[in-house]
Amino acid sequence: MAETEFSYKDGTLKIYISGEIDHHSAFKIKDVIDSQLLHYSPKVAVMNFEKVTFMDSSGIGLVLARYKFAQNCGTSLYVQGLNRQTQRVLDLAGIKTIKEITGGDI
Amino acid sequence: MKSQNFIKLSFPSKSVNEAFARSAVSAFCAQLDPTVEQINDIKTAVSEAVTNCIVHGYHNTFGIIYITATITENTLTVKIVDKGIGIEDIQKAMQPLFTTDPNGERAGIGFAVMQTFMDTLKVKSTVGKGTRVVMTKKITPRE
Repeated sequence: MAETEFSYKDGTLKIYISGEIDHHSAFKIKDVIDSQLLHYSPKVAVMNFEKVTFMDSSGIGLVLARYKFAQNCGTSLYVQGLNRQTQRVLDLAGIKTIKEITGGDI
Repeated sequence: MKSQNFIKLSFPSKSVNEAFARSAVSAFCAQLDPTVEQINDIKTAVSEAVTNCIVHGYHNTFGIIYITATITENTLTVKIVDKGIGIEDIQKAMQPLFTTDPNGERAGIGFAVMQTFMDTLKVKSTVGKGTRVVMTKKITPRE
């Protein structure tokens, strides 16, 4: 099970994800995130993983697909709050863009 | 004969069971006193293998997934089997970033995750018959 919470302020949409991200839960939250991105068309969107307790490679797909979706909306997407496990999984994607959108305090 | 312990699970290919499968295997493995990181490695690898059965093996249709987890001395062996469509070209399927998903929601690194997070990974598949993934991980006792 994964859940999402959103807050919007001054052109920045914060997306707080909590729980376990797997194929089952990623499928459920992706549409919710996309609809919020469309609704606000923010300059910046930040996916916060602080409260994610488990993530498999579905998390990589979730981030990469949102990254593309955000680009099409003119939004810069950042990823924040990774712990050891979630960072390790994202590192495995071996894609430079993941590094670029990782980190940075916003 | 080495002392051995095992569990067998079978469940339908519903994505809601992914969480159950990884939790059950990691709970079984707890008797080896693994670290939190080792538990996470096992959970992630099992999650990837079970997702493969659901998404690829059974193509989101109904089928049964079979898991056998065995502990022999300090080594956990997890066998995950589906009787789905099978994989035509295993080498290609195992290439990082290779995916059959046209929507870009699947990263195509499931096998790479299993390889990285476990000690060994073997994949055997027959088209039309199904796929068997066997992974092992040694849990060294803590000092």
